[in-house]
Amino acid sequence: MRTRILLIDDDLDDQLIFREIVEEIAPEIECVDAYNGLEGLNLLAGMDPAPTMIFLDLNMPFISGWECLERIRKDQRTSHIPVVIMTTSDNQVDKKRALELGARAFVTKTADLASLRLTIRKMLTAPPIS
Amino acid sequence: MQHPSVNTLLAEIEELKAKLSEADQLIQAIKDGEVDAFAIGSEAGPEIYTLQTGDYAYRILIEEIGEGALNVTEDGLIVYTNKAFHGLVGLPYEKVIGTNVSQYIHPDSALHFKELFAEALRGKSRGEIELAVDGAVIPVFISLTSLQPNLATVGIIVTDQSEKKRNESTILNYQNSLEEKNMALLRTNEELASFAYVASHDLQEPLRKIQIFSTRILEKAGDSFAPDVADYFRRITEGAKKMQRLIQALLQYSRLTISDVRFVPTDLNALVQEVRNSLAETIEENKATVVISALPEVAVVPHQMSQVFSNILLNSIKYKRVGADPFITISTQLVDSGSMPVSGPHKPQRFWQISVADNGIGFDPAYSERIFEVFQRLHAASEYQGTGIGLAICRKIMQAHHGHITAQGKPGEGSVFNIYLPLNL
Repeated sequence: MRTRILLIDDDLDDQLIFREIVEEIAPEIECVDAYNGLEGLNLLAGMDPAPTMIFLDLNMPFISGWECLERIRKDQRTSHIPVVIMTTSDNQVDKKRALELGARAFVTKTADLASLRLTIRKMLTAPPIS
Repeated sequence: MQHPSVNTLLAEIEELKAKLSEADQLIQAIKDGEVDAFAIGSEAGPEIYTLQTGDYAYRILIEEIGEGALNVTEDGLIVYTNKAFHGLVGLPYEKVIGTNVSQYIHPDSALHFKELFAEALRGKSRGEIELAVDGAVIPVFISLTSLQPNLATVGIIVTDQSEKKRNESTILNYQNSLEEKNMALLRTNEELASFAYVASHDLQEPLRKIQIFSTRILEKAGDSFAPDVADYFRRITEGAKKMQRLIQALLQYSRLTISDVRFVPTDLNALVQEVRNSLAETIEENKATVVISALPEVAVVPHQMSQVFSNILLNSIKYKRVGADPFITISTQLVDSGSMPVSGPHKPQRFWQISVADNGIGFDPAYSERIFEVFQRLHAASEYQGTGIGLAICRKIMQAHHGHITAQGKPGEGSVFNIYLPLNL
């Protein structure tokens, strides 16, 4: 079975680009999309095997990325999965809070495709934390 | 010793009789109230004695004075009232005489008045009470004086405070409404700032998409573009980049108001040195020289003040004159607010004037105010790149520092930017 990652982002443009980049740099990885927090958590609960990494937007309807992050970290079944925050925010307060809540990384969405590619590659190839 | 003659004695007796009769008549006249004043000759000239005139004058004064005057027995019975008091309580003289003063006191003030009256029986007292007249409440200030031992009564002066209270409440109303307006203004300002922040933040999003997908098109199909299409495309991406710079500058500008600021005593020498280091590459590229003479220590928001110096230095370098390497000097002097070329009222105060002078292209003095406005540019964007927001940021920061920034210039002769920081914040 292919390695799977979960992308939770309500921005369909960002979803498209993200999927294309993942396919480009790691075609063996399957990318599952959810376009809001509620859908993301539901999908996550039913994924077997669980995704190896979750990319999570913060500002989303229904259930925000913040709440998603907290729930993912609290749930024993998902607390081991690294969560990468991908947001339009470049606010240091947001970044600090996200890392304190247990996010692996905090990435500000950029207009620069090359740097986005680099970031995703770095995240996907990073060794799992013990 | 020679004895006076009988005739002389008789004459003296007549003279004394006449003087006695004159004195008798005078005393009678005084008794009858016919005499207001009389003069008695003395070596120092005539001395004037008045009887009724004195009383009369005082009576008229008391009658006509604007304040109420009462004479009240120890039991509170009114034995005298002037016009002002019976006018205040809206009753004729006869209706007030013989009444008890307590009937004019508002029930809420009864106890306080009783205390004041008791105190006055031992000397003097004064205080604020309220009168109740025909259902109306009149705030008054009363001053009580015992007239003992000459008279077994208490004199009361009553000052109507209605107008004063009205004025006080008017002033209070003005104050309140002023405070409300201030708060509203503050709120509007905050809302505007956060609006500008949110707006520019949200504007960035669609722009980011334009940039990302433009790049994607170039990656996937750029090779097959005809030259003119490639040119159009380059213009689109350049426009997007420029818009991004503008939005980021706007964001930076609006953040100035919403970010919290802390004033720290700062050695401006170190601060400007740091700014120069951070611009080292640009300074070198443009063969610029920056000469800094001794600067003061001032309480500032360090990162903001760094930005002011950075923006001004970059400005000087950007607008360099062709054929002349940028030469920039930074100097300081203490000035009085009166000598500052700053419009508008400000209290007299001493300021540090820090001048950044360059040998660049200068500018028309007519624009010395306009260059600090947001998005105002004196040159075509094709000539000099920029967002037109750098100096606006400088001005906003200087305002937050209770200071000023001004610019002087002449075309072709360079510019001087003066930063004013109050000596005592």
